Amino acid sequence: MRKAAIISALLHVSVFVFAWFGLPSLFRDDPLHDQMVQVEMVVLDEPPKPEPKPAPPKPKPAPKPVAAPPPPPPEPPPVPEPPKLAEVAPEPPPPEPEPVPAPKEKPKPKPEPKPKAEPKPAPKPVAKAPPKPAPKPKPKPKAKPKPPPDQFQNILKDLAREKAALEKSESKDRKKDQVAAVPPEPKADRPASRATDIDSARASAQLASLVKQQVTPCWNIPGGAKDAQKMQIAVRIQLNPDGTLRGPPRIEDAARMSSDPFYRAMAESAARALRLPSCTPLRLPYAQYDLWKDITLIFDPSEALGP
Amino acid sequence: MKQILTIPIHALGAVRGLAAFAALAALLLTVPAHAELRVDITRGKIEPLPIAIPDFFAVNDAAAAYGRNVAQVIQADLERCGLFRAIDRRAFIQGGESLRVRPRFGDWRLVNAQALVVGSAEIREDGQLRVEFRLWDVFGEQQLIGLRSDTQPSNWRRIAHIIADAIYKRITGEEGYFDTRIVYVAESGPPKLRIKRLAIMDQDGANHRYLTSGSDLVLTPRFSPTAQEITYLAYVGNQPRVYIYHIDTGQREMLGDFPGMTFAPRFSADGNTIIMSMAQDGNSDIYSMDLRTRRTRRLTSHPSIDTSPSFSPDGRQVVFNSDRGGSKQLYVMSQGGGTPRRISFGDGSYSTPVWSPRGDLIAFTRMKSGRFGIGVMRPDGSGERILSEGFLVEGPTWSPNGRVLMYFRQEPAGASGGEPKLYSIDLTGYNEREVGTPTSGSDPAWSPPKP
Repeated sequence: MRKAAIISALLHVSVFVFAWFGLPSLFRDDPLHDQMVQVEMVVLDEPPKPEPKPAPPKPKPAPKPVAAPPPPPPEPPPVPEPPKLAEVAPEPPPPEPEPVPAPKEKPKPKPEPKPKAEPKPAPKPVAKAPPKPAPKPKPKPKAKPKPPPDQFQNILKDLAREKAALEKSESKDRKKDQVAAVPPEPKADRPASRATDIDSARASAQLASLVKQQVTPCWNIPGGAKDAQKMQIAVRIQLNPDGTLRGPPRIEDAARMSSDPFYRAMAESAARALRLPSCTPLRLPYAQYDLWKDITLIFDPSEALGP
Repeated sequence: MKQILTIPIHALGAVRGLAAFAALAALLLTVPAHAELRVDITRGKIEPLPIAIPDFFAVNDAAAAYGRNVAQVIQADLERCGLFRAIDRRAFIQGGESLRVRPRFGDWRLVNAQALVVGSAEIREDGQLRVEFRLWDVFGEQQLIGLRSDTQPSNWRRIAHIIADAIYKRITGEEGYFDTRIVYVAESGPPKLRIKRLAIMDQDGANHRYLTSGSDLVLTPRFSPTAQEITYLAYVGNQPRVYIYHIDTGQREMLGDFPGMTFAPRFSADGNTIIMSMAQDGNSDIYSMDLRTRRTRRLTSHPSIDTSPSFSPDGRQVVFNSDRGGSKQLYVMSQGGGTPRRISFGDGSYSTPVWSPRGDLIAFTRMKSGRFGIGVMRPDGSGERILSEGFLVEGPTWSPNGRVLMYFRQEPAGASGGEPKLYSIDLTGYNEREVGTPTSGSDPAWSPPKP
């Protein structure tokens, strides 16, 4: 009886309380939740790199991994010209202990035996070109870069344009692959040392198109960035005779890297492209190494992002 | 004599030959050094960046759940934006304590990661949650950014969004937008007794709640730049009027006392002005109201219907739609009024323009031959692109960084359609996806970044 009375009293009181204060606070969870707690973030520095293990025997096994598995970090094979590497070297930690003694043995930039063994994976397709003059090169570009149907249009989506393009293509066959088509390389084997001006200009143009053809599918354009179409990124790379990068890609306008985050994002996308496993090593004719050991790439998205 | 003459000639020839040889030699020597190869890369692809986000390392047992949850919220944020592709955790080779010391980049290249997020969570003795993370460039083998925060454990979700913002910003160059909210009109009930309530939620759908009871019909909610007020249209006692809702107090106030119906309100970027339409005698024009003085100003006076005004981020210009030229088109005028300049010239009619917070684009709804589209164009009308189309897609709103659009989509009534749903799409036109809401939803508005 007393229990019942207490329960009854409690119930009445609670009804009264609800009636007086209302239920809202139960359902509209506290608005004060919106008084934002300031969250402070402290900047963390990069942790110290572990001491690179002294690994002198590295130079010997190096060339092999380059030929076979792509995953391990691009191990620069014994490098003939050390000076630039020295500047760059501090970056990569343990895996790449620079064999300092090696270069001293080979002062000349002609590491003949090693590249000879390597060209198998790389320059082979190129070397094949000259004997069979015309037909060979053609299927190559078609197979390699699989261009999306609207490769020569803006890569940003526009449903209206796509529809129009579709209608057009139904009546007419589209032509494509103009840019991707690589001119044949009749003189791939000719040693660069005998090149005349014209020859070397032509060789350069051919090399440029080889590089372009390989790098284009690797570049992931940060398309939606503001004014992305107005940026041009110049990146300089130096290559080993096997086509691997000799050091990190160097963005020419370093000052803008630190001042303009959009530029930095675009520049880093270019650097990433050059380091993608499918883009390193670059497959270029060894005989013309002198012409391509030092390349400046201009990444310019204006065309891809349209007017 | 002859001999004397010939000698110089020989000598000259020799000199010439020597010069030629020297020139050739110089050429050969300099060609490799100077004329380095230049290559223009003008094409590429648009693809998400592969990123690895292992669970954050739990420094103590109390932090285990936080470590997992924070990593998952970060991953969900980055994946949702479409610019990142998270790598399946089961593929990871390295984990635990060793990862915290320093990643073995070779292991991460093996699983095709290009970016790597390594973090830890710890419940400290004072009960605070400490979260820290580092973003690593897997190819370059260097840290791109590293941050730490101490906060109440209940704040973990926000921390995760803030970290996702930091990662997004470091990689894309744009401000992040994950620490934001969405207000929208939650719809339920049959068409004739439709209940429309204001609802608010985090950008990822968490912390959902209703702001209004549903007794009054509400439309077109828009955030103030502080994200603490929402201006919207409500039919109170059958009188459609513009109101302001204060999120932290739950109070609402009617904005001004106009003779006619007011609608389509929007804040200016500085929060001091609201711009809206007022309809009277079948004509509607654009007005602005200074919230400090409550003084109104008429910006257009034309017998056509002028509505849906939106300020440019610098507050100097206004874009709106008007049928003064016959069909509904977009016009830009200065913030004080003046002669509007038409900017839309495509087929069909254009409405609900919204100026991007970045200033570079205007989003709109286009209707053409019975179908709707969401598109963008530059403020001068050039570069028009349609990003999404459908039976009904309408009412775009910008993410605060001007990179993503949200809008609502409704398919014809039938098997699965009929109900409006919220969708978002990246400015590039890729990655359209539904934004989950508990009920049907329309008229979304994205908040500015939280303070």
